[in-house]
Amino acid sequence: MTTAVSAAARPHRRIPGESGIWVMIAGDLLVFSLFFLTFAFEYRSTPEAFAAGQALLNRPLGLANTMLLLTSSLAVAMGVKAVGEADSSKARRRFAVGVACGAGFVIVKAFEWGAKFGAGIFVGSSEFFTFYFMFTGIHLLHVIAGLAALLWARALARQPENPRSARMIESSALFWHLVDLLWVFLFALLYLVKP
Amino acid sequence: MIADRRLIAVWAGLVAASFIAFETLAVPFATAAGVALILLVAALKVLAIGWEFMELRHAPRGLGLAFAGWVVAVSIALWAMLVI
Repeated sequence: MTTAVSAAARPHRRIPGESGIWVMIAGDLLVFSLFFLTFAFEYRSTPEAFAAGQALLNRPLGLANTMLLLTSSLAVAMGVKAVGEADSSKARRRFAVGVACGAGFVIVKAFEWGAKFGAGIFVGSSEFFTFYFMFTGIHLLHVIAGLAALLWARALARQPENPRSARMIESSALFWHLVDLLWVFLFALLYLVKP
Repeated sequence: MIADRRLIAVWAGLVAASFIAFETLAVPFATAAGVALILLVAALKVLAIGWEFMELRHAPRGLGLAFAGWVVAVSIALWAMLVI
């Protein structure tokens, strides 16, 4: 009896999304770990040069992009909940907010890069800016792929009661959250830390 | 509705943490502590995104532990490489 009660009280555990998306997420996390650690190693080797490059970044824009991705992730997570409630219109509205915030991130990043190009700063201008453009560029490609996945999820949300659609929506959302969490570390490393 | 409120509360915490990390730039204390604080805030934010938005709190424990292990390992390695 005790066993049956405790088993019933225990929350049902399951892998969110499709198993394959977690293989991709694990691979991405490992690759970005190497990026982060290489950056930290090089920063420590020439701290003055890196600090000089870092001082030229527009930190408020970095913070604005952080807010956009966090808000987008919230909207997408709430969209997934709406899919679970089989509320198609609510889910589609929430995914639309997620896409709008993600598109806002791309616009802010384009503005930021444009300002750098206007000031004569490009890839190769310094070691710091080579890292900056490389990392934010690779991340931007993830953002664009994530936006395509979110638009797909929004289309699939027309049939929220279809289990296969629900799984694919979850997988798209997981990829978007991965984009968000990678930015959290990038923002800390590129814009905030001063060793 | 309760699930939505929980997500909004997590988001509010993430936004507040982002502002705190941003504001620590102006605090002139030891750099090792400053780096540790910024990385700690980033690690907690990433854990919150994983646990709540990616629903790892409902996932098999091994998956959640692997994710948390990655966050902790990367944060400590970064701190060590930047400071020591």
